Amino acid sequence: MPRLPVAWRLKPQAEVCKARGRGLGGRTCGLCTWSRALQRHGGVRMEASAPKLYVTPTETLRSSSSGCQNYLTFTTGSAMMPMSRIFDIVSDISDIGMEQDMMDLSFQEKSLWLMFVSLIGSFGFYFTSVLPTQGVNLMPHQVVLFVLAIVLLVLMQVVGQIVIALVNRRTETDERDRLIELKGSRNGAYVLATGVFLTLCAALVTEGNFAFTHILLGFWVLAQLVEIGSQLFLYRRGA
Amino acid sequence: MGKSTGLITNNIRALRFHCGEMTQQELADQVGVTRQTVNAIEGNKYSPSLEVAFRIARVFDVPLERTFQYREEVRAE
Repeated sequence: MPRLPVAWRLKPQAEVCKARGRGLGGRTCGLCTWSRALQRHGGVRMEASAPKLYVTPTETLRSSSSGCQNYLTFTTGSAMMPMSRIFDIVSDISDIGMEQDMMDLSFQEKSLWLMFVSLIGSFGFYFTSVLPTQGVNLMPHQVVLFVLAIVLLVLMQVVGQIVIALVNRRTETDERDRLIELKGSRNGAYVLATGVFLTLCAALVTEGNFAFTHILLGFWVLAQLVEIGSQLFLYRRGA
Repeated sequence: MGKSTGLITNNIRALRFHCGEMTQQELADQVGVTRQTVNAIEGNKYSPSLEVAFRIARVFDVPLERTFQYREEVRAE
C-alpha cells in the first residue's frame, strides 16, 4: 500500500466538510469542490468509498451523501491510490478550474518581452543603417539615426506598456521578481564591464570616435539583452 | 566526508485541497505574492524567504514544518 504524504494524514476525523453540514473549520473540503466541478462537467463519476477512491471519466457523476466521510477515511491513511495520482487524473479533466501550470505570463514577463523586442527592433534598425557606412568619425546623419532609434524605442515602450497595463489587472511585484531582477542585472553587468574594457582597448588602437562609440553602444545593447534574457529564462525556470 | 545537498519540499498543493481547493491566486492574495510565485514554490522551483514561508503556513493555520520540509542528502565523494 502506498504511503500517503504527511499532509494527507493531518486531518483528524472530527473535522468534516462544511458542504456536508458539519464544518471543516468553516471550510469546504477539496473533494466536495471537485465533486461540484465534476458534476458541472457531466461526464465524470467520482465515487469515494473507503479504502479506495475511484475517478472514472466515462460515466455520470454520482455523489453519495457520505462522500466526505469517506474522504476523511481516505485521508487517514487507508488509501490505495496516492493523492498525487488523483491530482494527475483530475488535472486531465477540463472545466474543473485548476490552474494552468506556468502557462500565462505575468505582467513582469510581458514587460520584459516588450523591452527585449523593442531593443532589438530599434537598435537593429540603427546598426543595420549605420554599420555598413564605416568612417573615422560619426557623421551628422548617423547622430540623427541614433536619435530616431531612441525615439522609436521610447514610443514602443510607452505604447506597449500602456497596452500591457490595460490587459493585466495585476502589476504588483514580490520577492521572487526582485531576486530575478538582481540576477539579471548581475549577468548584464558582466557583459557591460567586458564591453567597457574592450571599448577602452579599441580607443587606444583606432582613430576617431566611430569605432569607440559603436563598440560601447553595441555592448550596452548586448548587456541589456543579456539582462532581460536572463530574467526571462529565470521566470520560465522558476527562479 | 560526503557532500551534502538539501532539497526543500512542501505540502502546499495538499493544504490548498484541504481548504476547499483554494486557488493559487487566492493563496497568493492572502500571502502577498504573485500567483506565479505560488506556482513556483508549489513546484519546488523556488524556495521562498522565511517571511513568506511563515505567511503561507499561517494562511493554512498549520506549523511551518507541516508546510515545508527540508531533506538533506549526503553524497559520497
